[in-house]
Amino acid sequence: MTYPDYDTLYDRACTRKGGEAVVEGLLPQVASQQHLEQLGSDRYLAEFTRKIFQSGLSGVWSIKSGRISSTYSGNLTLSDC
Amino acid sequence: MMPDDMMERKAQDPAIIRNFSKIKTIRENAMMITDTERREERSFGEFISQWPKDDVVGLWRYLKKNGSRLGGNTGPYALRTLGVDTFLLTQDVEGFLRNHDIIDSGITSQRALQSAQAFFNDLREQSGRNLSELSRIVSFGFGQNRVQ
Repeated sequence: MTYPDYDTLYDRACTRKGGEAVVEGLLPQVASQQHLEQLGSDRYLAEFTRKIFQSGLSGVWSIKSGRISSTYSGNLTLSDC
Repeated sequence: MMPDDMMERKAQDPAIIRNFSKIKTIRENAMMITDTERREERSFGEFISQWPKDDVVGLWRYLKKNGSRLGGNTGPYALRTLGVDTFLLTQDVEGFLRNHDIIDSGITSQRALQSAQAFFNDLREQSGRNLSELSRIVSFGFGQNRVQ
């Protein structure tokens, strides 16, 4: 199999997005190793749960997002479970 | 960890969407986390963050096998939101991989996942960038370019 190398892909992204600065500004942020190590199990569970509740809801998600995120963003802990 | 009556109460709580099978995943995934911590003798955060960077699909598979409803894109999207470095099989990324014959089987097959991982590992070695950045760069070069 052959595929474009990194430089080609990066140039293509820049051309389509309007330049290097735009592309760099749109790239996702990754957490540090230390942050992830120290992040509580409840935070992992809460995010898994949020994504599970979002799945299959694309049509109604915009209506219900406030409700789901307020239910599951801050107060779901392992002791609840 | 969660008594049945508490589960029932939560299922009837009007503030929660009444999808009992999804509510049950809370307990199942809590058990997956505590089982992992017990077996690994380290915190779940350490377990996740110390997973080999060049095999994030192995972590996807772990969540799919041991967790509840974390297969498909659900586990990977949760990891991305948490800040764990991962590529994502979005429509655009999948389209790119198929277009270049990097994957030719079902997107959820282990063969496809291994091929996708190998492709992103190659880009990572070429560029020194992480999988999350590379995933988005690939998506920018393919499809309708909706992300702004």
